[in-house]
Amino acid sequence: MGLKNQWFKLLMLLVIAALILAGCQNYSEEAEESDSPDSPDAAAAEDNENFDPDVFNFATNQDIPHLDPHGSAANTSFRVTYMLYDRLVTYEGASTEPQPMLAKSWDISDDGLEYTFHLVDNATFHDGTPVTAEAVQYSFTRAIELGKSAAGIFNKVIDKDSFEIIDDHTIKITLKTPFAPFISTLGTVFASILNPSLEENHGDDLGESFIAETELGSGPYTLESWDRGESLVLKANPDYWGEAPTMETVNIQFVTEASTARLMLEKGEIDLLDNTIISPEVLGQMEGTEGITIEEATGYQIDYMPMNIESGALADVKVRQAIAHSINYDALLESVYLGSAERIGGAVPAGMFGYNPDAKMYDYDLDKAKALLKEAGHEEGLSLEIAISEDNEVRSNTALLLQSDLAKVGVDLQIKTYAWPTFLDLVTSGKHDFGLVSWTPDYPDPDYNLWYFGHSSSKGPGFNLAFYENKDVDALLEEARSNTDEALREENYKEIQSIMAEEVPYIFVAQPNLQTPLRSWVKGYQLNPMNTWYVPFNKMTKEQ
Amino acid sequence: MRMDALKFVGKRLLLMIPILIGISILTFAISNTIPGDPARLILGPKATPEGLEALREDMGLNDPLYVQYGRYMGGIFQGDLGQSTYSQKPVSADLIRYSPATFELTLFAMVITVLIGIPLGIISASKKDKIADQITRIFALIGVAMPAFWLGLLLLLLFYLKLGVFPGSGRLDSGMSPPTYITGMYTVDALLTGNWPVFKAAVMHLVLPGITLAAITIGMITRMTRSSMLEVLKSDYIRTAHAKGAPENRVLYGHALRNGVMPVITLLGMAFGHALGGSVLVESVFSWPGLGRYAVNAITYLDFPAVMGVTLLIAILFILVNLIVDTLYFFIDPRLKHN
Repeated sequence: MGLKNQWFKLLMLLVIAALILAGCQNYSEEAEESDSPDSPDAAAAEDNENFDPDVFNFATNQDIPHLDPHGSAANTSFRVTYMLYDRLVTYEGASTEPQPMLAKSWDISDDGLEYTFHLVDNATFHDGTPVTAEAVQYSFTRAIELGKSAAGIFNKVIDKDSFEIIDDHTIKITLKTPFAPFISTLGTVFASILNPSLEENHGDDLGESFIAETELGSGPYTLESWDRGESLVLKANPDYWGEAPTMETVNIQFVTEASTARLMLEKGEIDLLDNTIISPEVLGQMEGTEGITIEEATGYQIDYMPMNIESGALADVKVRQAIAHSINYDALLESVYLGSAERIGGAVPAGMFGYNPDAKMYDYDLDKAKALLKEAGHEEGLSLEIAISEDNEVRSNTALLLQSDLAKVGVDLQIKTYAWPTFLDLVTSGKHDFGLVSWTPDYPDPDYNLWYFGHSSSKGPGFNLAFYENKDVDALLEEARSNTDEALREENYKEIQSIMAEEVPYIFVAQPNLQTPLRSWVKGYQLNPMNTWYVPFNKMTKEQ
Repeated sequence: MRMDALKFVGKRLLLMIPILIGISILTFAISNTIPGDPARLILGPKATPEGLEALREDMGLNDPLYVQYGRYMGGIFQGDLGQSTYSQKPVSADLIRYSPATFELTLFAMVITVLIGIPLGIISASKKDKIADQITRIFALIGVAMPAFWLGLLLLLLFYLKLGVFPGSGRLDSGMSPPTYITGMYTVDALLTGNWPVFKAAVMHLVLPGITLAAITIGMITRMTRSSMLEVLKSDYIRTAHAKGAPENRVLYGHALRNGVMPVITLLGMAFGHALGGSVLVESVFSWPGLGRYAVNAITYLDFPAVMGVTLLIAILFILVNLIVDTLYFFIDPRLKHN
């Protein structure tokens, strides 16, 4: 008897629980409505409860490893350190021209070796000490000595003896060899100026572990808190020497599931999403949702397919040309990129100095492709592999399309998907036939892409993933890098693109547009074609 | 009996050492067979070959594997778990930071498991082959069979997206600051400091990941409780109890449960380990900043010291929990007292 009674109680409990859930149905309708563009959008209503003009909520799915600007190679760290630290020069908004920052002006000697920087005299670090020439010297010396990502950019050009402090606010940097893109490199995160007080905490790792979770910058924001894996909060620096930052609080949230992040944006809990986490397809679905805008701009990202010249059949230029002829580029841009991408012929993105619009673009021509394969002795067909890294819809769709295209000329393309570390190891050690890679330069100079892709010293680990080698290209690159004559440099870079287009070590599949979904109430957001991670928190506002 | 129990515990603790060494060798070997170069991952795709070589040398990656292992174990015996190449912090500091979130989630899941799994099993056994039993068995089966991340996504879809009753990611509402650090478990800390809004938010955030993580263990426990109770209910002393007219509740919870629950307790130890391991997937689905997330990041960056640290920590916990469970027998099972 007693037991039966208990049964009854349990059942009642379940019924009550069900009723409580049903009671929450109101909320559900709200949520559903905001999904469909036709119905009045609750989330976009004037009085969205999540709207707060002083707090900017940004979501990304990539964890921040650490905050050492000289040691990190992660975009997700850059986004934060760019706000915490200042540099001699900077990139703003959608511009790829370096603008004065800590350096109000600079002089360059005629031989392109001596750079004299005149620093602003009112800049202070967050602890109140002034930013001086000594801090500049300290920061670059540390970056080089550390030997990590920042050193990769600077150590061929400057070393610890390159600096001469003229006075507190003037410093002369003498390059070891002329390096035309030098000023451009100074606007990167790697050139962040650190408070020399870090030296007291150097330990045995140049302060790496000390600065991993704190900051010693002079930037418009200070680090308020960081709950690893959860959120990182920036606070406006009230004493900032430059233009006062607009957003009082910036809340960077880590949301692993892209679908959850999208939902939070639709509810207004998030103002802006990391531009890399939403695929073109989902962006298409989001278009038209009230309260949400999709910002689109041309970018310097290029998606390309290296063909490993040192691997079997691909050593023959005819085979590579045949491959280039057998890809249906229009269909690819239309179905994979949904039309928001352009085709390019070389490693320099359209819009950048040195871009060669006349570099040969192979047309989709199956007969030509078959003929070339026959000439190369592969009329009975051949079998090749394409390596891609997992978790990227665009690349896996591209690979599928390539597979069906190449099948038409008798090339059996096997798609191999790897985890990122394995993929990286495979392609840099030359164990691949084809790969698929996305690449964005860190500074707007053709030297960047072309040196990585084309110079023989970059083979493999240096990211010349085609293992391409051409003495003429090497010479042209070296000459252009060490010359300040812009006309000559442009000429050289264009020529390199033409040569490489003939020899096709790479097929440049697309230059995709950058797309970011954000709340329509966000004003002043611009996508930088190069620094795709850059979010100008200090310049944006929120207005309903 | 006390001496016996102490001896037992001591022996088991000693046995931990070879087990842990075995685990460390296995983990070290397996993580090092993943093709990939940790130095390259630190420096990013745009590193220079010279920079890579220098860093490899610096990290000791050029040494043979056994030398690297020896160096690592040498550090461990001095209490040094190494430095995470991902966060650039000592691994021990990272573990201390990430583990409370995972403990909180795992403990919450275990509480749900015990509160739901055991009663369901008892109900199922006492109503053998009736409708209540059938329903319970179906749910237990689904719980065991459903992949955690899939269940997690379904729960998110229903309770976060459609119904909006539970939050979908993280440990607290955005903009809310965590309670004063005492244990690192937000619910406990909020309770201790009497911070009710935070406590409420922390519990709400625990519900969906907790249920997802508990689904499998509930299934395991329910099935075990059911079969073990069925066994006990068939025995003579239960028949005697019924015969002398003891009330059914008393027979079930007084007489039968005590014997029936024995194997379940052993299984709870295993379930705890299962939940700890399962947290890796569940934490990714719910953006839960715990050991699982840390481990996934560590693997992606081939951060070997971190991978080793997480594995060893979980192994130690697993062994300790099972040791506690086994020791419990001395107190629950009177037969052990007299032997």
